[in-house]
Amino acid sequence: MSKFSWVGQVFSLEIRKHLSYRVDFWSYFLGAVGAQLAIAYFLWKSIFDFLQVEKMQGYSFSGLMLYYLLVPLLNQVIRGAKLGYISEEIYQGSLTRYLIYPVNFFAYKYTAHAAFSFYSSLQILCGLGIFALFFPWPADMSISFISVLGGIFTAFLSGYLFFAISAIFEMVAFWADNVWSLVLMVYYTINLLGGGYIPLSFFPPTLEKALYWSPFPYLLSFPLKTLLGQESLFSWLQGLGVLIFWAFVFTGLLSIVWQRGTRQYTGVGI
Amino acid sequence: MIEVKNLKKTFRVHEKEPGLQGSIHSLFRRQWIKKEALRDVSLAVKPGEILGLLGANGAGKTTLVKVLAGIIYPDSGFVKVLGHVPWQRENQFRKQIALIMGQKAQLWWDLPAADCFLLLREIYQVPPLQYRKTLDFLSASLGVKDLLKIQIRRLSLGERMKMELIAALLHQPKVVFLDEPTIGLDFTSQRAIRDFLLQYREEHQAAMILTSHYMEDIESLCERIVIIRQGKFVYDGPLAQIADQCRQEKVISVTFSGENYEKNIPFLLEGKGSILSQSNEILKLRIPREQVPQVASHLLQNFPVIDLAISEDEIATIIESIFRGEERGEEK
Repeated sequence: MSKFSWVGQVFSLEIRKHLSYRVDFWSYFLGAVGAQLAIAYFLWKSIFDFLQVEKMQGYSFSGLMLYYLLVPLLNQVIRGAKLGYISEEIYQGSLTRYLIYPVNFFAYKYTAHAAFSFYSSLQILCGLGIFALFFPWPADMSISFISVLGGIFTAFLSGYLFFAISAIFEMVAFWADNVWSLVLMVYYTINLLGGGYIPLSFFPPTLEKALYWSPFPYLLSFPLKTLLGQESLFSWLQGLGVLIFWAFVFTGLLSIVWQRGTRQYTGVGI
Repeated sequence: MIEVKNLKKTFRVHEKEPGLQGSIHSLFRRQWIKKEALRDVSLAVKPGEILGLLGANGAGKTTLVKVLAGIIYPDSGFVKVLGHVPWQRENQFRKQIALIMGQKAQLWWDLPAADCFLLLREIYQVPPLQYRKTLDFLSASLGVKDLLKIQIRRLSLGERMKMELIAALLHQPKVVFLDEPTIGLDFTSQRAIRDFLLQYREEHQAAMILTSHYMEDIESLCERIVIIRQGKFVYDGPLAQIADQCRQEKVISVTFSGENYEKNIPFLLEGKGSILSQSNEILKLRIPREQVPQVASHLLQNFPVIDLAISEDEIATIIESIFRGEERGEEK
């Protein structure tokens, strides 16, 4: 029996768990994605109509719609099922079970995270199909089978980076019980500086350039641009290098915070 | 198998004055108090031994169990469980222990028990044949074979507890920590769990540490008990010794026919025992065993007695008085 056979079991269990909640699957898809797309549609339509332009910062109107369709879908792949679950485990004392079981807590949690990413990537394919039905395919996007595969692969790596960053902030719960506001603040900061609200090309060029040395764009914008076919092979490899660098940095920090945090853990809770 | 020397653990707890003013004040300035949960405690547990850990709420029982299971770090002291330092959490250590907490579910609520067990099989790397055999045995012994495919959250408290027990013992641990495993269960379930634990101990010679507020658990499972009060061990020895204390003295309950007997009490006792309680008509005395016939006869001959009963103190009463730090005969 392999030492890591539990990984497959956790992966499969997570997929089965999410598939059993069909309502959640479709309500997210139709609700959250639909609502975000509707807001973006009316907002950008009025901007394009007012300015009487065909393109803004390299995006046509239908190109932007595709961008806003993919933002929440890709966000699901990268951010996993639930925000704040590690801090909740610490607060409620259910972290205890992972300290007793002979598995690495983060390996367990990341496996569950990756399972959800895998399941969510199916929604990206559905989303692209539905977009093709309602909008003209944007000429400024060169989506191909390879770019979709590359985008999803990059999203999995971004998912790990997001997991490591958010876990570090969630572990503040070892010292301060309730860290929900902090987790939410990190989430919104990542969304803003990662291109979740508007594409990074709308930012001042100096800021945009500087941001590409920070981890933020690699948490959304980079995998999204890869999926949309906007990254050349060279820029993709370069971006991948920066992403992996940050993944190492945050894994190191994660380990330090975990070592110190578990010393504070009391195992009390609900 | 379990060795503890001079173990200390202190918690820092935030204290807040009640009311809105207290809440606002604590936003700017917090009051912290230090709570000594374990004060220089030492103990050793042998293979096949079930040690009962008794104490009032907040005495430090669960803290000790958590340190031994490697969940929390102590401030100082020496601890070895199966040759490992628990809080280093080596996989080899974690594969040989189990922790069952009656007040806390450890299984995954969204999953049926069978799925949880499959996952644990992989986590503990239990060979398939051994897994099948153990699961069949455990689920049949606890009578939950038909419930394995039901989501944990849909099970009753007793059923869930039995599943927790199965989950904890699937990998056949050598050391088992049981923190109030029968809390909230009906008598049948309590008995089933007790019988099962005895059977498990018999077959695997596992060392167990049990905390419980139910004396039935302690009396049926433990030969040795440790009583902990405010983080310190105040008794460590055989349960039989406490039971012997019960047998040294008897309680005589007398009901009088309304007459005032109080003035005669000093004469009645003559240094032979102590008063446990007294009301207008009922008197309870604790009397040394050998003096009982003399006192009873004296009562019957000299007082208008309606009813007289002789009984022994329950073990629980003695243990409770030790919890409270009382000397025998002081309680009223």
